[in-house]
Amino acid sequence: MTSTEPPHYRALRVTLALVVLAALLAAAWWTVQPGMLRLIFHFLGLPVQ
Amino acid sequence: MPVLVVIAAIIAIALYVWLCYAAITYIVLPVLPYAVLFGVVAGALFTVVVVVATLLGAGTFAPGIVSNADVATALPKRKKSAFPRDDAWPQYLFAQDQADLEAAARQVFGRLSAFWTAVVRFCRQAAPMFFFWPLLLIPAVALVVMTIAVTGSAVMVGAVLLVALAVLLGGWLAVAGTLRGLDFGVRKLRHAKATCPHPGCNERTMLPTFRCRTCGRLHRDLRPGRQGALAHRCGCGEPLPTTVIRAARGLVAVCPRCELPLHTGSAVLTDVVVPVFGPPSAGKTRFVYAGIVALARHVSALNGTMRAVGANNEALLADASKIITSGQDTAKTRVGAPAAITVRVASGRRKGLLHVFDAAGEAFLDRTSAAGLAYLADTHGLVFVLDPFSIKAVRDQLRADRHTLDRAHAAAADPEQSYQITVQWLRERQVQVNRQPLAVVLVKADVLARVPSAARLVRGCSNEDIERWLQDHHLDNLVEAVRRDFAEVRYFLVSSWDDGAGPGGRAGLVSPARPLLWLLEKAGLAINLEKEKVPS
Repeated sequence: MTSTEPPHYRALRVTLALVVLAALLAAAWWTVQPGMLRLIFHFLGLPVQ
Repeated sequence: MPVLVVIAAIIAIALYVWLCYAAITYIVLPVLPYAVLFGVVAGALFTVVVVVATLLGAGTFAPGIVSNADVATALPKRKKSAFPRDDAWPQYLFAQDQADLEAAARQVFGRLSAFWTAVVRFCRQAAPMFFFWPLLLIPAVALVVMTIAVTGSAVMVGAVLLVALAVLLGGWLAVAGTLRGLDFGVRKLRHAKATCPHPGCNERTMLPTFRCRTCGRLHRDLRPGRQGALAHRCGCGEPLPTTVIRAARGLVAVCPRCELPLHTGSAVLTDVVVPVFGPPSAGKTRFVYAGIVALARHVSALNGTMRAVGANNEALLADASKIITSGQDTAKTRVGAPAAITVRVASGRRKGLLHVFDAAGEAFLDRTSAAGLAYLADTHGLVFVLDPFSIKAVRDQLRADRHTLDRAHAAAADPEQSYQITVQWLRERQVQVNRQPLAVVLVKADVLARVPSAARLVRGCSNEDIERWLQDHHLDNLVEAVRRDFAEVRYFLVSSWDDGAGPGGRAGLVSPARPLLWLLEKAGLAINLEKEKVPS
């Protein structure tokens, strides 16, 4: 006989999902930093101020 | 005419090549950086969305569950136990996390693979579009970059998840390790163990088995571990507290060997096992009965409490009280597996269980019989009952006094032989007797008072006096052997005829409670005993 999964399974999975989303946000924040934006604009051939 | 066709074809080809060149130059090359950027962003978002959806178990993304039914394969086998893992759910960080990461990787690369399969199928069905191949370079580059981005971001997300899991595991280990250490440390300091009260088993363990309060499943290891730090979740869904100390409060503890119930407080309270050994008719049962009754009076006189544990022990204690207070003779102990009298003693802040084992004397006459006395292998000290009337020198003094000799019901067997067989048996089972205390109890003090050479002994029974008296009566070999074999030896002169209570109910000079009190103190359960007042 097997019962439903323990509550801590859900809690830890949500924690891990939040960690992944936090990592994505951190990557996005790093991307929009002036230095990185200048590189991207240059790559896209857009004028850099 | 054919010349015109050839010229038209050359012009068409030239025009096509020029158009391709123009498309690459004026459309593809300016747009390509945007396609690359799109591929990177789309790839990263795809990975994150799929991983998060897998972790949250959304729809078809839901990973497989590692349940209590999978613990045998998902968790490593228990190293120090012959029993398989309990029927309880594994902790997330030891099985399900790996399943989730594998499921997320399968989802990411499985869906990417399905996407490429669909692209290839579409290209086969729409072959004419390759006429505009320069324009197709844009989605082709975007898709290739996206594939690289999916792979790269999957590796990075995997690394982030592994770091997060390592941090969670570190925190979990700190909590579980602290709990486990505290549970073990507190019980070790208390000298707590579980002693199976069932004759024929008498298993001694620090780790009792507990029954689930809902379904009755047996849980053989409720310590914080791979199946939970704060609680184990039984296969039926019931959360069970971890640590033996917490589990013992609300769950029924059973013996891991015979699976019969243990006494309340087993493995949590100080557990003192005192086997009483000696030759047949030495007065062991009488000593056990009188000792327990005297101990109850002594503890009560010191405002402590002592009560029998369980219905059997209550009946046994009531019988013992009746026999000792009424002066009846004790029945001979039947040969076979001995039962213990178990009492719960509480004095001040100290609480403990005392098990006094009384085996038939015949069990100590040869090694084969003694083999059934498993409890002897793990004790806190032993009591050797010595009948002074089994000593030839004493009997010789009473040749003229047959009445006293008859009243003494002297043991027939040689006390030295009984002692040597038991000690040899203990040594063969690697029991470190040289770390244990031994109480040598010279019983029948009430009758011994009639023996001329023992008159002074009965008046002032100090340890040294009894030892010297035994040496004077040709038991110097036995005295030497006990001194050599055990960590500490103390001699007691005891009258088991009554409870030997002194003023206020406390143990008197020849009280049978004294050897038990001494061994309780040695086991860490000291019950205050007044200093002996030996008359000069």
